[in-house]
Amino acid sequence: MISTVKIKNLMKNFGAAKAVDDLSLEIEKGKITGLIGADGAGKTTLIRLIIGLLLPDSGEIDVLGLNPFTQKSELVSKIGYMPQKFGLYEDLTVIENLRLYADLKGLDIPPDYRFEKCSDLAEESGKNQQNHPQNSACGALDKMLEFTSLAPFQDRLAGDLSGGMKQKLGLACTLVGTPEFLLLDEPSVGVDPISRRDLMKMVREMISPETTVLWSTAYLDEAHSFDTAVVLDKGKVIYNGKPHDLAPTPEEFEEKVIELMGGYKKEPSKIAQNYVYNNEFKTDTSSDYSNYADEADFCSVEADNLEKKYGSFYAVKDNSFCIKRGEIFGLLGPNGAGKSTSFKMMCGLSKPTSGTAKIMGIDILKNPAQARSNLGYMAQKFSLYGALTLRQNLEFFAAAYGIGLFDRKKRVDEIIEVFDFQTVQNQKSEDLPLGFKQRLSLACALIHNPPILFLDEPTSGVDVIARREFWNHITSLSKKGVTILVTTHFMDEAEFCDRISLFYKGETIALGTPDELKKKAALLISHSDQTSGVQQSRAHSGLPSMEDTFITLIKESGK
Amino acid sequence: MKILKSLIKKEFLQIIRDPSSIIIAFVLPLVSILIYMYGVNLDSVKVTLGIKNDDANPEIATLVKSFGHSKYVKSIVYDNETDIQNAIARSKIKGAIIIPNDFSTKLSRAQSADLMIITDGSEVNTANYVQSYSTSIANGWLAGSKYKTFAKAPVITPELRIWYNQDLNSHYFILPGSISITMTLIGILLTALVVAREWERGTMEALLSTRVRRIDIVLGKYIPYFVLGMLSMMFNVFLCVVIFRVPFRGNFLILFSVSALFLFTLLGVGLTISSKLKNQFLASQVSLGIGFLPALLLSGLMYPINSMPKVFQILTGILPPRYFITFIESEFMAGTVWEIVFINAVFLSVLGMLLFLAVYKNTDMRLVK
Repeated sequence: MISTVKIKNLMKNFGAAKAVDDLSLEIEKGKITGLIGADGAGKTTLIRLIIGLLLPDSGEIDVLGLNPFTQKSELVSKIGYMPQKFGLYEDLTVIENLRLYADLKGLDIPPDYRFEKCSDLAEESGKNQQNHPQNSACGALDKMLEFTSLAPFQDRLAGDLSGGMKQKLGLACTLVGTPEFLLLDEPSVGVDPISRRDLMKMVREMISPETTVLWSTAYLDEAHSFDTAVVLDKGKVIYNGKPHDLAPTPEEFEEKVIELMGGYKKEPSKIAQNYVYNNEFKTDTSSDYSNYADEADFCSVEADNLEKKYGSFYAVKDNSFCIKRGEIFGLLGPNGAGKSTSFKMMCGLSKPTSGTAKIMGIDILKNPAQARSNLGYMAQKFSLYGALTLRQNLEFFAAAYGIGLFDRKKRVDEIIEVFDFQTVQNQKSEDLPLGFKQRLSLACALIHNPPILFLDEPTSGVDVIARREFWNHITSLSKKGVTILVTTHFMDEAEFCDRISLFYKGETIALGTPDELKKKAALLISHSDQTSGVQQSRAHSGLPSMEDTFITLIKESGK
Repeated sequence: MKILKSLIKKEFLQIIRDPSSIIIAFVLPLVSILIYMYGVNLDSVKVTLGIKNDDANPEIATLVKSFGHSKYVKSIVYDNETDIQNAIARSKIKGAIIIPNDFSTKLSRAQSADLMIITDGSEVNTANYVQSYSTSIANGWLAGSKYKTFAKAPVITPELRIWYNQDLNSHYFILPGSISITMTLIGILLTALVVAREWERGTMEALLSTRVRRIDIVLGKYIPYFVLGMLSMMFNVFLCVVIFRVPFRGNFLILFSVSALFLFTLLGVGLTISSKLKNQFLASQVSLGIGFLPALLLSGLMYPINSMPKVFQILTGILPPRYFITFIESEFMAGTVWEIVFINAVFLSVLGMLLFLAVYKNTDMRLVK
């Protein structure tokens, strides 16, 4: 076996914390290796050590026959690295970003390169039968733009792209210059299933058979499809081998990995046990809660023909749904489909151009304060105050949600106990591992025992065990009567929802229970099987997976 | 070379897209020059005085009239002292002259006569004006009155010539001086954020994993902001000379050459802050604290360096604006004085080189965490 990376007894500490602990590892040339592990397991640190962005405390690393610490400048010209934040310049256009990275990687690109221009150039030189020196590099960029389907957007600012497109552009910038060794640090975080498949396809098709790929990911189904899987835990390698050797299916693979990482035991959720559903929640006085003859008719959260228009563009169109008490309602859809806009309109952060949103029967526009007091909101990226300690964050949110001074301390103490925050309560929240930040954010949303929870991508970037724990809390809370509106890109999480609204281009294209959606997709798949004869493998044994369902329904509506 | 070129190009694109750097470079000078032009005035102004005349002699009435005719003083006649006290307390008048009832009697007997001048000590500058205006008006009156024979002729008559700024128009030195304050702010603000921004947005991590060398990163920041800074400097000078008609007696080539050195040091200050802190918010706070305030207070524009405590005098030695202010004031008002140009240029070059080294050293090629 030829190894691209050879690591021996590598150590790296940050203060007292061991990020990489006596780690030895070889990464095989020409293979895709998945790097899996919980938050803080040392994945990012390991990648940074491999390319010489960090200096190790001790140990040896050999990458492509070079030492990353003394020969970094030679090494970097052979690798492509995509950091977690992609490294895009948001105030530069797509084409400007690509040109910049092509220049930095020493490619010969004409300074005024644009998509059409280069194809013309290639045609011309093709006619002249000349081998233009610029052609190969130029062609590579053309191919990249075509492949990412970013060509029509080449003059758009990178900052204005949707999440999935940004990721593709980041990957394209990493792939220019055909690196021998590709390192991707969680490239698929926060990306919808379609874009995720595209990313994977891009990598597989753009690299040569000799290219080595190191791909860190929180998606275990993704890791299962790789040649090798390396599982990290507390800075050590706890598994290194073929994913299929560990388990034949992605689902079993996930169970095995969780086992390796110490296992997850489903325990009754203390958070849900502690939750008190207050029946005297302030509903609209005119339509008193008790007035509803049948509780089943009452919508805890209701959207009535919500619409958001920017100029002539509909970000959200004709969006209606009614979420019953204790229901988990999922908003699914590709990046940029209008989920976040709907979300913001539902909590009154954005004013709809028409339609109404009601929380416990209260119109959020007419009575925002009253409506919002029924609401716990967990924003994307967890919006905490980084400079405040965990405890101070809780105290702040308790005050913000109007909990009186005397009850506040008691309530915060209670929450700290229920969430097991005792040991970290005085740490600054920006220093906490992502899993803790996520739990803190949930704790802040729950501090006033709201009957309704809004969760906007609550598990983005969080590892599999933390996700399981999180969903245990959520499903237990719903059983106690909490109404939950959630967005997610993890299709396995969508299965926890009672009902799902599938969003595409601002419109609801499907609404129903997960099984109803799957049946709908299954029909479409069998239909297309009969007509085209392809895609047979998709609908294996009975119903398609949630991910296939998602993709099928989106593609169908796009037709 | 190619890498540097594309980094510079990238930086220019960012400058064009981001209105804040354009605002810093071109709106800030405009605002600041307007403030210095119309808001700051160190010249003498017309003061309002109260006059109470207790001497009934008609000759003395002409003294009261002389106060009324002065171009520096506006006078209001009062009958009693309580009104004067009230008027001063309400700042209606800035001081008062009281002519005692034996004033003319004493003068005609060739005795020394007292004239009471009341000034408002809560405004020291104005109080000084009141004192000197009143004294000179009274003396002027005496020299033309019938008592002039009793006044001793002064032995020395000073002949006053004011060089470089004949009209004693303080704007002529404040505006050029303000350019150096404005440029300090611009030079530091423009660059203080740009490296920190790359760290915060994660683009630095991506840059560091390409073939970019340290010198590329450093020059890739210096060069674009140098160009922008020089354009801003030209705009400053244009405002000063063309719009506000401040006389310029020096040489534009020399002015811009020394300005280039000055800008070089300032970019160094900004980039050192930025590379060291890696945080935009902190960097902007620090650059105001160590850039703007010392430039305003310790550079010698507002308060002469010679009258500062020794420690501060030494401290001013490391402030780039100190050298530039000396240079630009003399270049504007006195024309090129080679000695001043040379000394200040040398100091600025040395500071600039030291700062360049500091930037180079502080440009991390690896992550710390």
